[in-house]
Amino acid sequence: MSAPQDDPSGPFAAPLDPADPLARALAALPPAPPPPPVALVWARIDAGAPADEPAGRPLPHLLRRRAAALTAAAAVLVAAGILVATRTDRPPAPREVRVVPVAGGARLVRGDAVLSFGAAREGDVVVAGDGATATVRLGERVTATLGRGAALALASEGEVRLEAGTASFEVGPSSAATASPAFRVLVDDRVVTDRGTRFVVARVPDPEAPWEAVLSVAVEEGVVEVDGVPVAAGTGWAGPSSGRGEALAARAAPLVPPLVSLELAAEARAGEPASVRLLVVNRSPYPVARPARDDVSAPMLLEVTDPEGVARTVRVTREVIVEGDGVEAPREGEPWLAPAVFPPPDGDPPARLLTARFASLFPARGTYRLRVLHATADGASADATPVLPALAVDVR
Amino acid sequence: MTPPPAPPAPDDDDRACAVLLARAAAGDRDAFEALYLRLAPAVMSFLFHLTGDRGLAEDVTQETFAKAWRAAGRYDPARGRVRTWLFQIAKNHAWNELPRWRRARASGLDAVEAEAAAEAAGPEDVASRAETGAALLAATESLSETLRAVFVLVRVEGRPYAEAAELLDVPLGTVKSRLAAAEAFLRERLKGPR
Repeated sequence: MSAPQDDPSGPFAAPLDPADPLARALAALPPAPPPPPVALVWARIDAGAPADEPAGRPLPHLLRRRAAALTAAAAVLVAAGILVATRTDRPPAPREVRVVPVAGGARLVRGDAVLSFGAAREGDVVVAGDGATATVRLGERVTATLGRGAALALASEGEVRLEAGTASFEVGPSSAATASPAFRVLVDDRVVTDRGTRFVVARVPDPEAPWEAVLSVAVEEGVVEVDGVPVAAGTGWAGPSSGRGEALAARAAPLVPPLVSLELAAEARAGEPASVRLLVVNRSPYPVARPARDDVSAPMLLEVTDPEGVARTVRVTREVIVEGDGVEAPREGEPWLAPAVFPPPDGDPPARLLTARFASLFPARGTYRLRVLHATADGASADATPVLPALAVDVR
Repeated sequence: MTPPPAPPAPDDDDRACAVLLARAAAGDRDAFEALYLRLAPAVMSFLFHLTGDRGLAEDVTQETFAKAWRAAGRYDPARGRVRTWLFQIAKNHAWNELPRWRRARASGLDAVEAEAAAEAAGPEDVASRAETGAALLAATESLSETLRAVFVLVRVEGRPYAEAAELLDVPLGTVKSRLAAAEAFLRERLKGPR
């Protein structure tokens, strides 16, 4: 007896003739038993050697070389009795400073450490531990603030390599006397060159292929260049962190603007200052540009439509943000930090509540309508609340 | 020679599995358990039909996922989907374990009887059980590993040709020719003496 011919072009094998003894035997096959309980797998894993721990994502090359040193650093931390928060939903730990020098050039930083990189050797790595961010002074001009778990390596003078995580950079002006070269951040194959003052660089897993890395740059003030491609304040750039020499413009993906919902913080009265709460939800795994200091490049705008139907926009700058849930308030001489818009380590979109205070939002009584817009790189604006109705406010 | 087929395009389930594995690579046990719930039944079914032995299939399923936990960070999505990656681990481990398992099974009384029955199962015995799945399972044990893997994947598990080719790292045409050979062999075994 011959079996029916399979369809050579079909993706599956053609069904067998029901009279075929093979077909009857296949139909009589006993069902597969269920898999063993997952607890048995855990028992097998937990009974294994330390090597049974997950291998983790492939570490960047510098970190890979220093894995042992980092492990030692962790051991030193434990020995010192330092509380290490292990869950992201816990309140922030006390703002203590711990800098642990470790043989091999790795330093594990916890809290608001201020570490001079001037004494560090080329190739040294600074890793921010759990909890608060770490601030690192890089010479006279550059302050880097590392997000949780970020790792920054000193590549050479005026040049660092972001090995992992998110770091915010503030670059001071170069004096005419020193004529310092441009500050550069290396991320895999990419080079981010400072042409301004404030920007955020992140090396995060690619959401589509978590084993690949994405470079994300959000510029708050000034201009930076990503492999020579200028990125202006209030905008960002995201794309593969690898691929030296490939055309960036073709591969770059625009940053996804955050979703913002609005509510009034207090009853609105005509002619009085008004406080508005903005719930900012980062829909992308990338950092998004934060409200800018100046009034020109701020990416976030509040559109106010008065009772007559006339709309105007007010920029949401850092100066109008008076408080924020989970947001570090700006301190004298330090950059304003909004970890709310940093990429989440656990993959959940972060949402942060900011309160903005405007001196004159509602000049007269009546019903106003508010919505948030996002300025785009070309000067246009896009609705930041596409799925939400505009907030109606009755002003007395 | 037929060129190797392009791997099937990942669907939403594949992407979800990739994300779960990525999280597992970062030490997320909940994600790993979610991945287990998704794919362990398929892995277990494949192994059960590949080895014909529930105990071995359970053992290899456990070891497959234990290996996946250890190697999650080294998984390369460019080389195939998570399901295929797990099946490859399972298949390779099963091939390694099968001879030892058979020897161990043969050392026990029941196993001796079972093994003896399998060894002694001539065409008459097989023919008498031709309508049963047990007979088919016994007959597949006589197949070579390469033919058995194709038969189980394509005919028993109902996987597409391309997936079997990807998993076994052979061209599509080889999968089809091996399937035809396996089916011809099994028909003969099930038919008994003429």
